Amino acid sequence: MISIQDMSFTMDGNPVFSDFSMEINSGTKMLIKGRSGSGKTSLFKLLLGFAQPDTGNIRINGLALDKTHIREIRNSFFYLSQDVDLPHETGRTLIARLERLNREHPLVIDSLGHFLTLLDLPPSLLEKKIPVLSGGERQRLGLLMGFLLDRPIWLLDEPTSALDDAMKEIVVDYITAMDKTILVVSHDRVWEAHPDITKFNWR
Amino acid sequence: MGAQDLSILSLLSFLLFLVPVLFIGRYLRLGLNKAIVTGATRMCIQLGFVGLYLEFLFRFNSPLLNIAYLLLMVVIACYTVLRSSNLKVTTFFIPLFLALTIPFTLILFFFDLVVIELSSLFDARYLIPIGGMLLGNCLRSLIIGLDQFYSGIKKQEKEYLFTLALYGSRFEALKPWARKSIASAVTPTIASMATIGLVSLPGMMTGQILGGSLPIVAIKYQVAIMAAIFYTEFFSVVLSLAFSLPWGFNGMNVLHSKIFAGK
Repeated sequence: MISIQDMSFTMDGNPVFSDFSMEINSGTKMLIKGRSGSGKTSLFKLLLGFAQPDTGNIRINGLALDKTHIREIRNSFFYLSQDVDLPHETGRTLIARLERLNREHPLVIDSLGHFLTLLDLPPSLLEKKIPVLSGGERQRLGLLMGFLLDRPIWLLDEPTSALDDAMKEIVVDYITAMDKTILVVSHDRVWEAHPDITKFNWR
Repeated sequence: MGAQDLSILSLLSFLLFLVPVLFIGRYLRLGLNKAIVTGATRMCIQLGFVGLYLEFLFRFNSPLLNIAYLLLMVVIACYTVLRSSNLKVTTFFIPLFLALTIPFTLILFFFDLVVIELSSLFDARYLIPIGGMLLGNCLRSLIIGLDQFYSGIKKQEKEYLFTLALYGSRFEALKPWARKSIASAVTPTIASMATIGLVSLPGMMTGQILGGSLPIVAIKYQVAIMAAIFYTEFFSVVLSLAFSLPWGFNGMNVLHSKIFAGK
């Protein structure tokens, strides 16, 4: 569960949140709507500890978002950034590194084949350096990491923008059916049209 | 023993060649004449002062004074590194001072004590020039290392934060930038070790030969000093990154915004 209490946050002199409170229960699937440039992704930054609120506090599954718990909290999030800023290496190397770093909560590596098929990614794509991949391939590779990591809370920033319509449907259906908390910022209609999605209007 | 002394007048005769240089510079509008004159003047004045205080240090040859002088050199080196890498001096001085002093003293004393088996460890004739060579070379690599590391992360902050969230480990997320900056910092020294003797005779060796040492002795010193330079550079760059992290990043492992000087 994510709990935000009386949070205020200013970015570059503009108030983004003032005395904002919100509770998000586990398993919620929520689309955050609002015009671009309104600071929707600030919420993700604050939840991930990339930015600090001026006042108020945030708790994730009962843990205060502070330096004592930041590692544990970050390990409960899967965050996909808008530009999918994956490192400059092959998908295979990245998966190996994630396996090494996540011994406590191992990757669901047995389902790798299943996820590759779902995302229509040929296994040979994992041998290519990530920067040479197309935007759509990189986005699907990013989602693949999410599936493999299997973390309980997903923060997705425009996760389907570079996918074709058929793939958008597949991804949205699959993600909304997962037993996870999902927060999405997206301009894609597929998310909005999905019956299991709660909408949150951002200003 | 020692090299033949030069008279000031014969030294000044070298200015003769400056005339065509300045003439060509003016004719081609290189815009360098002022810089050439200031550069040459500064060289003469600064080295003149070095000559004076080295005479002074050598005459007294007091261990305490020698150490104080070395410490002063370290302080100036740290200040210069931070100024040149556009980082706040007040924020990073302490970690950089430690990162430089620890390997510097260790390698310097090891050099004096074990490698050249000096009987008096604090002999100014060895301590000061060798120390100066080590520091002078570290300066460049520390500037490259720190600048590449912090400006690299600043430039690619989104990539850093994304991998931080993905890995959950600051150490792992920082690795690509640390790797790149350590490599750029020490590569020039590795390259000069690999080509030394092929293209140029290093300054220290030339000096020793002129001073009357046998070439074989000069070569042994040169090998030892190259190794000492490389080790000091390598360890001080690695330590400067490691020690500066608590000052460069906040408790949430995000880069502090106010660590850069100016702009």
